[in-house]
Amino acid sequence: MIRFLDKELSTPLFISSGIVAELDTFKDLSLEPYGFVILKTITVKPRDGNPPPRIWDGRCAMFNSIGLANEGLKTFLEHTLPKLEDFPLPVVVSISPFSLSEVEEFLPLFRQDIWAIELNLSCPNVEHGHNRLISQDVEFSRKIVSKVRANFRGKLIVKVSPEMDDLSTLAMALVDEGVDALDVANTYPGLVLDVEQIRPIFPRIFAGVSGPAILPLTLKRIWEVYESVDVPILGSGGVLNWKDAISMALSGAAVVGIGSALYRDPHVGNNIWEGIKEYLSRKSLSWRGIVGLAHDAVQ
Amino acid sequence: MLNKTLVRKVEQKQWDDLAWFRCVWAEGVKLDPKPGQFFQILTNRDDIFLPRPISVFYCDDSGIEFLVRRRGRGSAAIVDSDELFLIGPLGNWFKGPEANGKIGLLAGGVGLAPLNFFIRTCLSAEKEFVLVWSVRDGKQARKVISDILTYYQIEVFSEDGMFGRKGNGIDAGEYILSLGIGCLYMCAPLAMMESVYRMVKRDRVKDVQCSLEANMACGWGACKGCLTEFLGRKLYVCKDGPIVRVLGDDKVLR
Repeated sequence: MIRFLDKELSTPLFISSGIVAELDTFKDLSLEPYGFVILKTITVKPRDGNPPPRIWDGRCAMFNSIGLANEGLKTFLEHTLPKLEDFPLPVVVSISPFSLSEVEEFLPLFRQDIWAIELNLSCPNVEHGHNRLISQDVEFSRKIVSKVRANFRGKLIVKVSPEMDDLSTLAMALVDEGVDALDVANTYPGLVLDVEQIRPIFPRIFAGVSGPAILPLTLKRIWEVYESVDVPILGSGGVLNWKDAISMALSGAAVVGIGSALYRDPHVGNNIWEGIKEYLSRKSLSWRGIVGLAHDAVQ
Repeated sequence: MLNKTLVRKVEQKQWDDLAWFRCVWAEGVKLDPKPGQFFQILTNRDDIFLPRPISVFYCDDSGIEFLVRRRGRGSAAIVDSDELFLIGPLGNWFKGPEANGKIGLLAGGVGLAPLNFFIRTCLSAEKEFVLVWSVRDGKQARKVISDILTYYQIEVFSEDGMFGRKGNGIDAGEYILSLGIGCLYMCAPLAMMESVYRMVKRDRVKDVQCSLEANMACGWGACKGCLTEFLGRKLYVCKDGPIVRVLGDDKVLR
């Protein structure tokens, strides 16, 4: 068992937010290799999301421009939340308030008996003044987190953007505000062009890049955050196989997110978990023992 | 629970950018897709991340067939690979028809695939049908028909006039609607299907079923990536389709 945010988890793997949009769709997957799941981000108001195309295949990567398409808080509270009780794994609810006043609208959710909330301050496919992501504004992020923290008693995770001038400063600021864990990180804003039509593929020009191409970039950020703060890190971005997951743990991730790899192989979690177990056995190590272990090599 | 199944090609034919291939089931494995359903197809290539949604051309107890046009890296890799992973079968399928009279089938290019599978079931049920295939390249269509489509009659409209009647997708649509059909099944570019749909006399053709396509990441309703606007309505192709059905009341139904 893996202890994480006061919960005993069966494995250190989780399904990242946004990967499976609706609770009912998880039934199409074997959930055995996962310790918990993070639901798709909900916003105060329902969102249709961005115009098509929303998906593009890159080399060793995928682009998405979904734009937080979701049912909105009211429908979530009425229809999805009651179903969580019967869900076979612990669930993290992901939310994205766009302003301090929107945080107040989430109060009915904060009053629920929820294990953990992930505050998504980093979706690259929606706008927050001047085209910046909320997590790129450290002071505004502080205020949002402070307000959520004051109203929610469960575990609070913040998902940060990888596109930060100084991720360590943000991480320390958020931990100061009482965050229990950090999810490092979201997708990277990227660009793909149609060279025949001579224009960007996506109507919003930039789109989020995920998949194996971003793994080394994610590992660097996990490494930096691990050096800066003591809260557990959720590693998200680029895991395709067990070696990737082990690399994330060695860099400092306490738990490892599986994301777009599920689109390539719905059974990828089973293979990754089997590979992790074989590695730990071969090395006579525990999962807890390998979290951040690579840092020892460079002390 | 989603299946991911490894299959091996045993036969492939290519006509320029169009390829047909047949794969056999491994021992103890047999999938049972219905006409109109699709698979997300993945190769062993590491540099192509996402699988590609491909409709089933035909399937029986010994194997499965696909018709694929080389359009980009993903479809080219599928054509060039001997081993493929199939995720699925996915999506809904052609129903009915819930109307009397001759069954009309209108294919645009590679959209022939799911209609071929449907026709094979019509043949076994001895239903009367007519298939019109709209293509750009008439010579290519002639070769495809003589090589793999020997089970039934096809009427071709080619844009270059090199085989069958000369005309585009709209001409093909006008033609099939002039044949007194009672229902219409289509798989073609969205704009062609929308144009043909608008020409349908609803008191005569009471069951219209259209097979849609879109870029997808998952194919099983998880990613919300395949949003498409069709006949003024927004649909997720993998979850609401790929077949959308328009019955007598002029609404897009699942």
